[in-house]
Amino acid sequence: MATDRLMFPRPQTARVSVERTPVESQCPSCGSRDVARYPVSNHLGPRMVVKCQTCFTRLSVTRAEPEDMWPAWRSPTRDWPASRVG
Amino acid sequence: MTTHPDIADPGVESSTAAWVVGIDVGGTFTDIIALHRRTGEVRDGKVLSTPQQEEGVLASIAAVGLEVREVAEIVHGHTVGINALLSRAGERTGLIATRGHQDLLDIGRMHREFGDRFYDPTWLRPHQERPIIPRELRFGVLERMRYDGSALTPLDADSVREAARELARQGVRSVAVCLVNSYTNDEHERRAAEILAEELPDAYVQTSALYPVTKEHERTTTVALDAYVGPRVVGYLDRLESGLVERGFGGTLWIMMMNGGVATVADAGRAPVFQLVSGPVGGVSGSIRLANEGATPDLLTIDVGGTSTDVAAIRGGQTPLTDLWTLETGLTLTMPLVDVESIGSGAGSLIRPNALGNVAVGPASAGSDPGPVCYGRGGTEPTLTDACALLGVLQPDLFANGAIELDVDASRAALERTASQWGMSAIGLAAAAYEVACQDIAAKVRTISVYRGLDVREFALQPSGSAGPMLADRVARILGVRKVVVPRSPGQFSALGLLRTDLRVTRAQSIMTPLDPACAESIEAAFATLEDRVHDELKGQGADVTRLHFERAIFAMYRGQTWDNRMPIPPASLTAEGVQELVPAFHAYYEEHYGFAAREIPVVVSTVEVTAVIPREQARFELVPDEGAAFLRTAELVLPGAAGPVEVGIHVRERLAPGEQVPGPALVTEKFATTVVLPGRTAHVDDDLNLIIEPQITAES
Amino acid sequence: MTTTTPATDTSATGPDVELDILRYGLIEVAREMLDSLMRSAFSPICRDILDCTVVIHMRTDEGWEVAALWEGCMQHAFVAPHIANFLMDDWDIDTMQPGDVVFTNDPWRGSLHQADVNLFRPVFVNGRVEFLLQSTSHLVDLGGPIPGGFSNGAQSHFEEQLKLPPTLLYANDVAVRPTFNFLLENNRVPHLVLGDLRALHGCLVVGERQLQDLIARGGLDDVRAAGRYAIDATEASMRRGIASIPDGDYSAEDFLDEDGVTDEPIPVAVTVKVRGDSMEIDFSGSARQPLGNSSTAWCEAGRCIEAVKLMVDPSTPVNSGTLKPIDVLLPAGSVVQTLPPSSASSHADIGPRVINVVTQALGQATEESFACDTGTAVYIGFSGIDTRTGHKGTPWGAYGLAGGGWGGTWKEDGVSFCVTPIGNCRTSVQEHVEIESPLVVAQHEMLIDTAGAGRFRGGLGSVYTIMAESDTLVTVVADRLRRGAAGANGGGPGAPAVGWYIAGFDLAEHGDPMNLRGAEPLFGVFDEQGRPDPVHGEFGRGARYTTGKFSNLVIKAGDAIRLIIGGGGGWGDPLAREPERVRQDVRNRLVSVEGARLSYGVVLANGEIDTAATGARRAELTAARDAGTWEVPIAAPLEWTL
Repeated sequence: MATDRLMFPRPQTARVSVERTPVESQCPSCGSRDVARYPVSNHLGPRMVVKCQTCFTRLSVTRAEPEDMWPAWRSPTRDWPASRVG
Repeated sequence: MTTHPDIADPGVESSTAAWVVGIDVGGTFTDIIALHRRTGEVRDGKVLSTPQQEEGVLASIAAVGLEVREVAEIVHGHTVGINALLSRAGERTGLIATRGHQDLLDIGRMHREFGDRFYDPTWLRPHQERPIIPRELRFGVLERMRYDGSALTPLDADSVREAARELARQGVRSVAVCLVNSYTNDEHERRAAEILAEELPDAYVQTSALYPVTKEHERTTTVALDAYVGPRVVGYLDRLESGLVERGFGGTLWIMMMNGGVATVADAGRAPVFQLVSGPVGGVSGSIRLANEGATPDLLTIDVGGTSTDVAAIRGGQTPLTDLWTLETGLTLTMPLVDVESIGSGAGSLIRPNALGNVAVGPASAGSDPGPVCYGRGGTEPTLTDACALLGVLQPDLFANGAIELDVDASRAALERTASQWGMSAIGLAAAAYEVACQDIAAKVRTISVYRGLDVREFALQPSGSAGPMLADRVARILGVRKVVVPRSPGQFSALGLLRTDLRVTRAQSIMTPLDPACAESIEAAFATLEDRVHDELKGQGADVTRLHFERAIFAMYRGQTWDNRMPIPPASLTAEGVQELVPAFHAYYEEHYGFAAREIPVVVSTVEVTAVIPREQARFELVPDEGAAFLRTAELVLPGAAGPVEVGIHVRERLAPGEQVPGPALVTEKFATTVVLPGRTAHVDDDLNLIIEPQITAES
Repeated sequence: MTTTTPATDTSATGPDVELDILRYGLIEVAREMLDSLMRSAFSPICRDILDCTVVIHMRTDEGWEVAALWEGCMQHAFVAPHIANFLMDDWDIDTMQPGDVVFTNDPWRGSLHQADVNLFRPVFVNGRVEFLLQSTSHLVDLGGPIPGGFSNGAQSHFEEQLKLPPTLLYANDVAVRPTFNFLLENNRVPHLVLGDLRALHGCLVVGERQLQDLIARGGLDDVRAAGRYAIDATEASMRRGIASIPDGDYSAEDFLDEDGVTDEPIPVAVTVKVRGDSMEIDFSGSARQPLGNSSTAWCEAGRCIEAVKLMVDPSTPVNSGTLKPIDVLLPAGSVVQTLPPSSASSHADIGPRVINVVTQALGQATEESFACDTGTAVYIGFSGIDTRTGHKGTPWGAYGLAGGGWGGTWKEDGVSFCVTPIGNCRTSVQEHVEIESPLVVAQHEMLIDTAGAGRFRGGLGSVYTIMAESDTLVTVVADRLRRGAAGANGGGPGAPAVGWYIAGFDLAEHGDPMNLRGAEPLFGVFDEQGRPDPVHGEFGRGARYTTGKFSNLVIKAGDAIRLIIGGGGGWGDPLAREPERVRQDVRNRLVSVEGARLSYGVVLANGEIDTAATGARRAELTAARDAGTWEVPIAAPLEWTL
């Protein structure tokens, strides 16, 4: 639905955190098995990264999947064809 | 050329004062050019500058074999004010400000310094680090003017008197008075100055009267800097005059001002801050003459000094002017002054990595002490001069009239050390440094020309300073400028310029009046008042007012703006029709500079400015080439863009006669400068002994 | 005679001088654009305050990267890269034509707040969009219930200023009338906003002219290569700086006083993780979004990186390379990433707080640290309808910024009169403000005893008093009311902010800021007699507000508002400050004799240092500190007159 990601409730907890989801993988740089996937902002904007937690080697940097909700909001018309004025 | 630097020509009459001399004091040397009014004989010389500058000035006159009593006119540029300011050796000065505003100097408009230290947490605003007027000597007195000149709070004379007495106790000898909104009503300022004169009878007191325009911070800074350097400058001019009179001087002493003109000592002493820097201004004056005499009224000038390069764009032979000059971040002078921009790369600039690790030339400099490595005076870091020595552009035995034999091996060793961090060769770094310096200068020229809508292809590039001609042809190539004009004695061009400078006295007044035909009368009245005042002042100083004419400018902006724009206007009396024509001219100017015009918004004249001009009578220069063959020898040098060294001819400038041609690639060396002529270019000598470099005429063309 | 120069290859490997020259050319284009924008703007925000910036974005395979920019305010440099990418994610590049300008001010697309508008202009080369030029500035007004851009008390963005997703503002350099009508018809000062929109557009026209000139000279490939070179070189320098910090996780917590709706403090927590030459800045553990407007939607993702730049790489030009070594983690629904439809207009305190907390975290890792800056701008916005003769009926808007100080550093005292590092705000020309607005700037000067004490003290705070000549509507945005800017390495905090209302302002009677007669407390920490006292006083005692974030206060004609902004925190032990420097500060009325004794342990008699008494006093304070009975006091002016 186009308009489903425009309004959100305030979080219930007094403090909030970003969750890092552990990923079964090994870091190609340092060999660590402490690898996680989570939402970040890089130099371009919101991205999902899979990153070694020991040395911060980025195993992947991708745009978020819809279920990642990252960022939570999005344009209601994002998939529509564009007119001359937008 | 007929320049006889070291000895007096025995044939010259010495009984009457027939010489006009230009004397320009620089950081290292005091340059002099002397011109005989009747014979046109020219002499030039250089002496070391002295801490007491009048000594060097007097010595320079002797150095060209003249007695002071033989001199009819001296046109003089000095650095007493700027030196006092840069070394913070001015007078112990107090400030009288409106209560609540004693810290305007520290506020410095509050912004940070753009450039390398923008994000540096250890940056301090220069006035906080090195105050001109420390806070303990700043007093807010009880008074307040409104924007319309009405008094919100009347002046409390006792608060001024109390401050004055405290300043007297503290041994203060100079006081700046600048009150908020005084540009529109100066009653409180004048009264405060009277009280100061009563309480501190021997002190120097300056007020906004020196340039009563809006912008409280810039005005306060201007008044404060004047009070800080004023006593030093006035004292210097006084000593110089006495020294001259003692030696039989009966002529006129003119002082070079930053508005591009000269003033009498009396007028120069009225607002000494307006003669803070004069060297670059002298250079521009010389260029203005060149533009008016030669076939090229449009010149881009590059004056390459030891630590920096000054650039200016001259259109139609007119002096380019601006109205703001920032000495250090937060210390800005507001006044009309020659529009010269500087970049920190000169002959003595050090070759170092920039913030990104790439090759940079400047802004750090080896200065005159120790100077470039090749001078052999203790310098260890390579400079642009060292790069040119290694490239072969500067010939070791022909440098500075043979005064210094350049040590090229030392240059090479120093360049090698610096080059190793990039894995470059010494010669590779030298070539890169030469190119970077030329590109940096070209970029600066572009900001004052291309970016102001000028088509530089129609301009000629005119170098000065000893190092200017060795870079100019390359800079011209980068800019796409076809023609380079190298004047005679480029190393002393500023001193020469002094000799050719008109008297110019500028005054301004803020009026904040709509640019509307209905207001023509009141705008005209403001102009006329200023012109009458200047006329009377100059007459009182004994100037020849019969030859006086005025130039006019307005500062204009759209209603609701702050940044006004200086627009020269015709000198005729302003009528309603005249105003009617200025409005569309302003819109057009705006569209060109800012990408839009707001035609429905009224235009406001913030300030009117007049300049009184008394033209200098231009004496004839007698120019005869020296005897002997111009071709000296060949040398190998590395030129920009060339894969390896090429053989070039070296020609002696002083022996080149009008009409003679030097095909590039070549070096033309003269006493204090070397000109590089690139491949594909030809230099020829014109009737005024200027060296003109243009593209080679080939068979196909 | 022939002198020879050794034949050597000049094309030896080394830095690419040509690229560096074109890189500089790009920066020059940006500098000229900003100059054009600033000089032609109408509102004091852009022309004076410099809350504006211009940016050159370069098209790359990944998206849009900043190749060059010129700051007015620092913060824009760090948020611009994301705004361009959000915009172009939403805008079909194939519909773009030369001379188009797209507008957005949406905080959820990276804008700092709705008042900061962004204009983007494509630059076509050979029919393809290769660059985007951006101009950005805070507009004086954009409708909504509260003028000026900071909608205190608002709990949703519906109650704030107009918020436009990417919208066409010019088509082929022709103004799009519906867009202009929308912006101008919903505006309190349409003449100023129109003037600024034209200036924002004009500088893009000027910029395109010059960028095309650069491309014509250097060639597109080389100009693009120069942009790439600029980004890579800045990234490398930033990475060298990060690598100089020992690997580790560094945590710190600071707070905002409250959100102007409830009185709960809002914690801002950060963990900065350093691994080699990369870094993560993770705001996990920070407060959820407050009810009021004190949180931001996205901009902290870039803005917090300025803290790292200040600490490890201050001298390179900012571009996308500055951001590349760092991933930022913003918890959704937090004070640093509020979710719609929350209000999000008051970015001016969370911004500096985020920078403060990151520098506090990194300060644990290095000796070359610095104390916090004032941490709040004590921003004041004015508006109304002029009633002065000759101006009657004219709507007007103006701003005031008192300044503040930066913290003491490992090298020196902090700079005075310098807004928080999100800014770089210049003062308005007050003589022009007084023509255009019925205001009198009655006082703007440093205030004694407001700098945090330290071996190197903070920059000074100041007093700012404005009198109204017509009834004037005021918005104030202030934080750090309870405790001033934190010190570092044993330095003390700066003074907190305080505000008063003065009825019937008269310079003769109210010209001394230390004299409290006739001053009604608006906000601050006061003792029982009404003296500001951050140590023993009570927050909000006798004051009109229990927050520093309020709107729609009316200053009646003839009355005044007076604000005190604190100075920066001190760095290092104030008992180790050279006594002579303390004496100089006392002579210059920056520190009182009593302040010197209390905070620096320096005893002065008749302006001279009493060496023996100073030694004894310092020994006594050192012992008390060791015993836990003394800490460096919060800076506070001491000698009030009641």
